[in-house]
Amino acid sequence: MPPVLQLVDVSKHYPGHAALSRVSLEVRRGEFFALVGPSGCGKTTTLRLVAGLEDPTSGDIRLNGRSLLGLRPYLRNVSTVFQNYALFPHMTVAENVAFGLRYRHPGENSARKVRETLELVQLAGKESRYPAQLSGGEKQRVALARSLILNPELLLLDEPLSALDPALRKQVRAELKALQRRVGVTFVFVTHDQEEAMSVSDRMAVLHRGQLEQVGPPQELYLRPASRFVASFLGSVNWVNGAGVRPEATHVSAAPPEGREAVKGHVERITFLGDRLHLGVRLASGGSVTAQVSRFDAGFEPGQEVWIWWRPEEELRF
Amino acid sequence: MATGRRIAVLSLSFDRLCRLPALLTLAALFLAPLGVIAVYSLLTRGAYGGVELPWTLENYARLWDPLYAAILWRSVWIAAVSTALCVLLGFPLALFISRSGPRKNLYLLLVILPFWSSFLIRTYAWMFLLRDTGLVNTLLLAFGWIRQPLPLLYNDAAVILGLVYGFLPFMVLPLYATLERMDKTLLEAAADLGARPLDALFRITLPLSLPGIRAGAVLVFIPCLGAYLTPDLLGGGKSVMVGNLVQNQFTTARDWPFGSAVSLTLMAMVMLLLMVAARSKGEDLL
Repeated sequence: MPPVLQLVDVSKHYPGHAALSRVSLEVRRGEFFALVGPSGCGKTTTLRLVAGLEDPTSGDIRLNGRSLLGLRPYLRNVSTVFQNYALFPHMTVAENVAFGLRYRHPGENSARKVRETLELVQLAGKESRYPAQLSGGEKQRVALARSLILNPELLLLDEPLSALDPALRKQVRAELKALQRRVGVTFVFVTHDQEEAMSVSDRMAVLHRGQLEQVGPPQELYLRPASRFVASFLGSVNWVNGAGVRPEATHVSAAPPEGREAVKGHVERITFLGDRLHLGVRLASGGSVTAQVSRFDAGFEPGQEVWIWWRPEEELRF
Repeated sequence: MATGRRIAVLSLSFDRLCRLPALLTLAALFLAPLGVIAVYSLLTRGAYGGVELPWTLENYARLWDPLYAAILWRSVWIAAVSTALCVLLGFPLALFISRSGPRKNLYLLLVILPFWSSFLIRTYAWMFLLRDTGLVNTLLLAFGWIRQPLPLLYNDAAVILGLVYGFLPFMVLPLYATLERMDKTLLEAAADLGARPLDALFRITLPLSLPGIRAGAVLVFIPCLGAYLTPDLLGGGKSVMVGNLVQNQFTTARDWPFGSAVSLTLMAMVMLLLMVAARSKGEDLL
């Protein structure tokens, strides 16, 4: 069985710049796939190309093995949750959700389907509200329901959490993940927030300046990044004598550790973060690193002489 | 607190002061003449124009005369047809302009360009185009498509043509403003959910541009209803609208009280329509 979505050497050029350069990737059926990268990396462009809202300059986009090239958006069995949700302001929640049914599933019992879908996203009872009367989280669920009701091959989500306030964001992303598991629809999720991407996705792709840097499960990308860009995009990295080490893998000892190589330095600053501390250590060889230590390992003083070391398997190699 | 309140009081009176010139101008140049017309409409006509006592309601009673009622009715339907045609022509035009990217300013300029010359001159130009020896008939005759000149001028169709031509910009501009403000991602969302462009036009664009259509309809209907120049020039003597009736009463007929009564009735009709339009959707009209 072919992958549900396949991008083959896809490029998108605008006058003056290339938004996407020869990107190839595959999304498997039923997975929660994240496209992540800094703004301007081409992730939203990728989504718009798959939705058919724009056409690629070259390359092929395949849905279940069949090319989507030249197919207008209304003929593609994919659906998008837009960043601003793009709910139709003159329609009620129920009318918004039912909007696409007559095109994609003509003749179905739309009233029952709408009710079921609204129950799925926990919006039962809000059928006759208008978008202007909804909270941000409710609008997002209407947008989800409007797409999910069509049972698309692929659900594209363009920064669906960015319009929510930060406190709500973590809760909603957990709900989103649970919802995806329940309905089994393949999700392609675009975000600039690497923590968000890692927390929800089965696999993720990191884009940088229109090029694909790496694809894989979040743990793999975090622990074995293929490039310096991926390493530093997904988390902080200390660079010591050309080796990269994550702050939480950077150990600090007051005395030289037995049987290990260590780098000497002194504590420059201590940042208290509640459950953990960040020690800023100035190395004797020049440069500085940040080490993350548990609050139970407190007891370091500014100016104190320390030794920095790490397990060889924690070293990031490219 | 006390200082804050005093500032509030001061600024309130300053606001009133700012409003004063406009209020005085309106009172002197609009309300006072309106009062004069209201008084005239209740008096008896003088022998050589002007008015004299006694007070009477006769002028309003005469409006029920089938002759005058027909003129009022005719004005309403000519204005209604003209407004409908302005919607039909104006909507596609406004849609086209709102979607033509960087050239939209040029197109908007073209829409308002006719205002740079006098309405009277432009209406005369239509007469030259439409009359028996005008450009249209001359060309049709020259090509041999007709044997006799078509009666293009001095009928209701010519009046409606003139009104649509004259007031189309008042439909296009508010409609354009509404379409321009519309969130373009709504159309992307509609296509994404399976709606073809025509479906999206009728289910998204059209309903969302109703406020603009309503505003444009009010802006077109009211001047059409009271139109005087266009029916006079393009309608000839046959196609009389209420504006011509008023003018006749004050000039040739020398019946100022009846002319005043007709004017006020026209105004009352417009006010009534505006109230209905405002009531039909609890929104601001413009």
